[in-house]
Amino acid sequence: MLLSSCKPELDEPNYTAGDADFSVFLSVGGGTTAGMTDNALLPSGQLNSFPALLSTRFQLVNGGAFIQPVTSLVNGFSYDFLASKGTGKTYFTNKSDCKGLLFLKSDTLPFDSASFRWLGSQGPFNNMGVPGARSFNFYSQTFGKMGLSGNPFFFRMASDTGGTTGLSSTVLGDAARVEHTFFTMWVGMEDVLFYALSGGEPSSAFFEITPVVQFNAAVDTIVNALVANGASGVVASIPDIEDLPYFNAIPYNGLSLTQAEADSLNQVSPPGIGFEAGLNAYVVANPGGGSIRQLGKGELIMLNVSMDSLRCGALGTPQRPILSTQVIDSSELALLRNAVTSYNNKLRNTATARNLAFADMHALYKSWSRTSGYNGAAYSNAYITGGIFSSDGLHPTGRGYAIIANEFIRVINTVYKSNLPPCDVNSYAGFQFP
Amino acid sequence: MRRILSAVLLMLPAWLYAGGFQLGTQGQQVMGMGGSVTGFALDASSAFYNPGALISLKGSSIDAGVSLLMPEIVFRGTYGGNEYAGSSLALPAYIYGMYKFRERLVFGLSVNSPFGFHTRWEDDWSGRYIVQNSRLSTLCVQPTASFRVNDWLSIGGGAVLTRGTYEQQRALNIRQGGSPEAGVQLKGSGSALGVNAGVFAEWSKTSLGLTYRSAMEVPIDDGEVVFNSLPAFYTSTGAFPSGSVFSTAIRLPSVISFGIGRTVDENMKLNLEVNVYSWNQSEPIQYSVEKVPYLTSEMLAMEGTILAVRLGGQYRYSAKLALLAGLAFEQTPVQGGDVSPMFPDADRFVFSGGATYKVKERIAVNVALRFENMKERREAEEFTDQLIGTYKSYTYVAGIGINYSF
Repeated sequence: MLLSSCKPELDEPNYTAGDADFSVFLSVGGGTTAGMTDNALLPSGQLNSFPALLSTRFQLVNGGAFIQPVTSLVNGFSYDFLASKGTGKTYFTNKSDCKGLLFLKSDTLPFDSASFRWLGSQGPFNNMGVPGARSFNFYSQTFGKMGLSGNPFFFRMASDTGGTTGLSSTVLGDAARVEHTFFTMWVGMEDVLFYALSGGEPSSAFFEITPVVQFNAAVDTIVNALVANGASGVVASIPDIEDLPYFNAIPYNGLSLTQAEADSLNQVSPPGIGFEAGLNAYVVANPGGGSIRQLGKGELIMLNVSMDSLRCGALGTPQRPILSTQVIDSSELALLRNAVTSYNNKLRNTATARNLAFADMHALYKSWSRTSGYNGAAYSNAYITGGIFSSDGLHPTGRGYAIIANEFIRVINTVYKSNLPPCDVNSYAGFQFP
Repeated sequence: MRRILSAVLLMLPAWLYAGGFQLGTQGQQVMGMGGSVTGFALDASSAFYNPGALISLKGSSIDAGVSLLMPEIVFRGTYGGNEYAGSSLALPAYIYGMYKFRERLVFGLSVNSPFGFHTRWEDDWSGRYIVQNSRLSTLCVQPTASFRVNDWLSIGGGAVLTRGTYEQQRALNIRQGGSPEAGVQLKGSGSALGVNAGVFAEWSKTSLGLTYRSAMEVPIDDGEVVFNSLPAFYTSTGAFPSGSVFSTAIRLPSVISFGIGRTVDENMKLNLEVNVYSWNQSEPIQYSVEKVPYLTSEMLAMEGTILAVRLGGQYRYSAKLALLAGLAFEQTPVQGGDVSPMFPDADRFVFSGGATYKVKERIAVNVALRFENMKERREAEEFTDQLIGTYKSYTYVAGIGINYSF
């Protein structure tokens, strides 16, 4: 007692909600809203989702409980939409390549289907982030069903999975059940992501970019539903694909050659393809197969290429070109960029028109190409070493989510005149090396 | 006497170190008087505080003492609760010896730790990537001579050999699953030479002192670097090579002190003084780790010319017991924007008290207590990249010393 009273003390600041009513907080969005990390829903990631972090700040003023559909799957729950199968989380192991150099090899844990449970009776949920949900899915009456018409992430949390009527509850319908007073809406990433993940070669309509007209209409529908009861909130823009490590971690010209290696490759190369000592552009097969070419500056290679082969197996050379489905070429990239720009214009204009706050996540993600510090720790979007993105190169770590939450807080404080404190980024789970 | 002096030299205690940058623990009587002694000839600590006054002391004497320093620091970041730093046991000590060689010439030796700090945060605190533990210590050895010029004027001075040590521990934003966060420990020492000189003038009731201690920059090269808990990914890539060395420097200020001592009555003496500390304003000091530019950081930035004002008094209660009291105000050389969790310095008020008890004719025991109240300091704007927040510190000091005259 005597000793403790000898310590200096500093008073807790008075936090205020300003003009906002944070008492019931609802978050609507896709995988990044749900708290995906290591490409899966895991309790650790979900409890560190950016909406969950925001709710801890709201609770400093007038915020209430924040209920999330937390999975109990040990390996986490993920779904490979390209292969239509459930998986567990991705993780890394230390591997030596042919030259004896260590690299991190990505692998996936198996899906623990026996533990998969429907949680819909535990709702309503404040976090209505649904991985894989595109803008027009939020009011789909088949989205909560099992099977191809539905989404397994929503199926596990939908209040009605369509067993009786054949139609499920909708994301927006279930969201309305929480009777929110404040919301975040971060919709649109999935509208371009599947196209990108297919390497710009959609195998079905599911993998197409959502047309802008359809996206715009969906945004109006979603926002109308979210403000219907007078709630205020934040609308967020979406990042460019090339700002995600999954698409930018491997440089287009990472093929490192000696003069002798270059000479021998030149002897087997068709016209238009040439190599020299130093760094060279990788070789990629053109869509449809047959012809090959070298990648141009700015074109993207995805992280699903074999890192082993890239390092030691001559992948990316004329003998073994990278598949076109693992590359975003410049025309595909242009389509993606145009869509993202149009979506973001719509999102920004909608926020302005409805007197809602606007969180520029497009700019935030872009800023991560430079290293910035937080309390002495450096963060960037560098794959593995940057600290913001988890092993999947798509979804943030707990610390990445904290940085995102802080941008929401900054915007909320500005627009709603609150003074919520930011999250201590370094106190959340960061990237874990094997 | 010579034997005693050489014994003192041999015993140069390795455990002497410091925990506040200007420690003010170089003599318990002085500490009891708020560090105010330049205009006084008090005891053998004058070898350090005013070499010019040493000759005014009667006979020869040895003074030794040790202090317990307990800094208590609280930090509140932008996001939440209070976090505390203290220190493990910091025991700055001193030994002074003076030997009256001739009626007008005295030789002295001063061994002490005038500068240092030790700031120990919790390992998992919010600023751990900047610093977890930071300790600077100095050991100064100063052979001194003091000479009486005439009835009222004396001078003195000495060369100051300073050994400085800096060590630091911080976490790295790297973690292997299931292991503690990676970290780095740095430790290095260096030496520098300076001077300490003083003039002392004494009349029947008034005395004046003027001293100058030179600035020093202790270079630290080839400091030891130890990385902890690095995952294989980093050890294999050589991003943090073992055997790296670190380099930095410890910059110490020059100090000009002017004091006026006044004998109020036969039992009471007062001293008022001003210290002017000047910090070299050239390039800020960095510490850097060879081959790991990522770890280069700014050392504690101290600059400008700052003042301390001190008032101290001694009251003779009885033939055996004298009471001491003092207060002081010390400015900080750490400018706004430079406040570092390594040593979050601030302007401070100092309150002190003490007593001297004559156990025997030749032996006196001195005790002193000091309390420093540092001003609350708020650092940086919200939502930036720096360690943002508010610091507030107290320092408690208790000291005991012994004085033997012969």
